[in-house]
Amino acid sequence: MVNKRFLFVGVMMLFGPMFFFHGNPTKAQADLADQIAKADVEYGEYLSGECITCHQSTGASVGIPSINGIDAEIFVSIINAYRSKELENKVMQMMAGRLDDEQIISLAAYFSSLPD
Amino acid sequence: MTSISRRGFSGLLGASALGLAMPSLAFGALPRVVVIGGGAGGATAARYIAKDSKGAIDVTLVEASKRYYTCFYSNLYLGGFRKYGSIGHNYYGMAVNNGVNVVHEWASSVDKSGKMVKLASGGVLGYDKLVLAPGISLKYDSVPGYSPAAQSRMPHAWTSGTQVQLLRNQVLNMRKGGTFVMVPPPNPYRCPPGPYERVSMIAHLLQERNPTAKIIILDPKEKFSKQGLFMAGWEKHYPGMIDWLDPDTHGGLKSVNPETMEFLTDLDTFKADAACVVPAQRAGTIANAAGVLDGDWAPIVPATMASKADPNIYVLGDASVASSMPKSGFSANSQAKVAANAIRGELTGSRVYPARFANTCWSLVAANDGIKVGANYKAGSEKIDVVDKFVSQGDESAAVRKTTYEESIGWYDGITSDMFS
Repeated sequence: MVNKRFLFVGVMMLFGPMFFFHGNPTKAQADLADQIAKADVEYGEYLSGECITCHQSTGASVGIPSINGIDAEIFVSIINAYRSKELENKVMQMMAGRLDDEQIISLAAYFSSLPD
Repeated sequence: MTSISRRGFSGLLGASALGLAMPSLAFGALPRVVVIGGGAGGATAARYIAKDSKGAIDVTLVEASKRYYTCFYSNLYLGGFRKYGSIGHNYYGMAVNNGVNVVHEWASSVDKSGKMVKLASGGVLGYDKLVLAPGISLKYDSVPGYSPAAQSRMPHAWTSGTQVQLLRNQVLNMRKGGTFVMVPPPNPYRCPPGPYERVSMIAHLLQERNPTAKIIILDPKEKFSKQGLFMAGWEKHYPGMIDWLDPDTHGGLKSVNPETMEFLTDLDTFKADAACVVPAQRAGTIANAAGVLDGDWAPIVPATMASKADPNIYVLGDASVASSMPKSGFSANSQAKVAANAIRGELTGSRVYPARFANTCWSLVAANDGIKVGANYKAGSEKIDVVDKFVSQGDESAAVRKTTYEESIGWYDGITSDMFS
């Protein structure tokens, strides 16, 4: 819980301006929400197998934050930040680096659907 | 004579095609998967097949141990960073939460044509798909003088459990200023950084309890995993304590004598007060009995982890030839998910996704000094190919190293939950 709040605050500090002031943020956010709503959650569940070796399926957080129930848009912005290496952590940069947009959206839809 | 309509005929054809693909279903029973070995590969496979098929597949796990002590993190127990009980796990979640039939017995043979596993007790388990995840067995005679009888004097401690407890006890009881000798295994072997993390953890223990003691590594290899990072860490945390001797330096280990605790090499005879000898390895015995080995290990089809010798048998983890992946718990867990997806697809027609593999190996060099190496992979036609990889850097800050260690604790909790919950 605490971890997730930290994650949220950290991400909003880092990427909040991108969310809200880049181009046409309202439309971009609406598009993302639309993509997430239409996402292939079953594919996300399959892909999540790569995540939950570390991010526990039980939602516990020790050393590695829980991502169960994470806000889908925050999930997407965090993964993109690892993909572009703006966020540090070699494991996450590698794991995010091979995900394409569809896979990220599917994962976001899956993890955000879980109870936290 | 009644005629058969076209629709009825195609329905029958469909049913018989289904019957061919799913033989058990033709007789009204659930398709059956038997998994042999309840470690990182087998436990994950059993759990994922049962959990994701939601009762559509009958899953049996054959694992002799009622309580499973992980190899990963056994070094941290040696160093005093974990309690022994914290690396032990049971199969309660497997049976109760996932409905897996857990059979605590040894599997003694596999009848491939009859699709049956024979248990040492005489029982028989039929299968449609068999998953072999037996880990390793030790080639004791790869080190002249070493044997199962010698392992109480010179523990290998390479399959966790009592051997690791024995090794810790022997290190704690070394005379002041005594010598510890480590003999790492030749390639390929379970957990490439493991012997060197083990040296680090024993050095940590000795520095606290017996700081004038020495460690000598008689390595059959000219180089090893994360070598630069380990050696820099040893110099920083345990200066002067550890001597790594490569084969050019010691000229080869000719024999060990467990009675006198001597190690004979071309260079010298080393006398140890405590020692760890990790011999060469091969796939767990049942893989040999099942006839899926080529030499010491089982070749697999990268896209599914199916054995190249039998399409109804899958081989996971250490026992398989899964290069470029290392033999690690993380690798086995990753491979298990690929196999589980492929097996479910074949038995129930569920969606099958392209294989994706990943691995990370964390090692602890000293308190709060964690390092890691990792890669992700895809299935090539002949082998599992690296997509991307990373390794910790030598100039990382203490804060990064501490975070890496803390991350490894999260990983341990994550993977064991993924295996056993």
